[in-house]
Amino acid sequence: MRKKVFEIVARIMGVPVEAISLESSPETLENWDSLRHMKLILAIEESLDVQFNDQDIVSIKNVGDVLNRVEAHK
Amino acid sequence: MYNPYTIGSHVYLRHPTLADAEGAWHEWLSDEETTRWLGLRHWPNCVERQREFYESCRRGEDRLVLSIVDIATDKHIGVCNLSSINWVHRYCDIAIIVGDVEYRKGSYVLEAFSLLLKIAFLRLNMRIVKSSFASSNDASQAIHDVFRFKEVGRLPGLLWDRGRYVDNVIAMLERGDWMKRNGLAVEAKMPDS
Repeated sequence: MRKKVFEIVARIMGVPVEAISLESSPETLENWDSLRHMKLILAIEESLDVQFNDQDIVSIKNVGDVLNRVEAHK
Repeated sequence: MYNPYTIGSHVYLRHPTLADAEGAWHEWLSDEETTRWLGLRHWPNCVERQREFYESCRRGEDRLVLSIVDIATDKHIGVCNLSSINWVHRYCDIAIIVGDVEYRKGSYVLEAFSLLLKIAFLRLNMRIVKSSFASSNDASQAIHDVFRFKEVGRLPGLLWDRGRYVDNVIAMLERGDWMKRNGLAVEAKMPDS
């Protein structure tokens, strides 16, 4: 699951997958603006067949949070 | 925190203050990029007009205007509102502006939008929250998709956006869908009379 999440993050943020870690966030990736943040949420939901609730959405601050939320719904 | 109306993890919403109106708020509504998507904001704004708007926020119950404030710094970073509130049919419009560019990264806008939806559905007992935005506004499209608004129509070529006419997208979110998604009990429907 981690590999899939990293690949999606890399695609949305427009960076190599090697640049992604669990700590990657808007503070560490220059491209991670609010629009890409929302596109990331939508891409994760569509690609991994999960549905986040509002609490999930606002709790996502970095890639580790994305992975945690996905695993909580699987 | 000063006078919080609702509190999230990183932002809280409160009634605007005169200091908000006289601070950066009026400048946000002159900024070309910030106002690109605001249909009624093609004229330069000024602190006097912002004071008038602030005064108008204190009257009437058809519009709820709230300041978005960063909890960590107590800095006023944006505004959001529920407007055209209809207390009979229980619907309203929703809008949000994060004016401070430093806060446009990450999830500040999502948290404020989420808090505002919670106010609409659980505190003000709205049945439908609706919205409209330019079809060329990728950020608006994305935030409405994230919160599962349904597109219910378009007014073709209604809006002028930097050299071209674009569609006005009309979207809405029903309380039952919002509550179901958030694991809340959906109230029983009133029987037909």
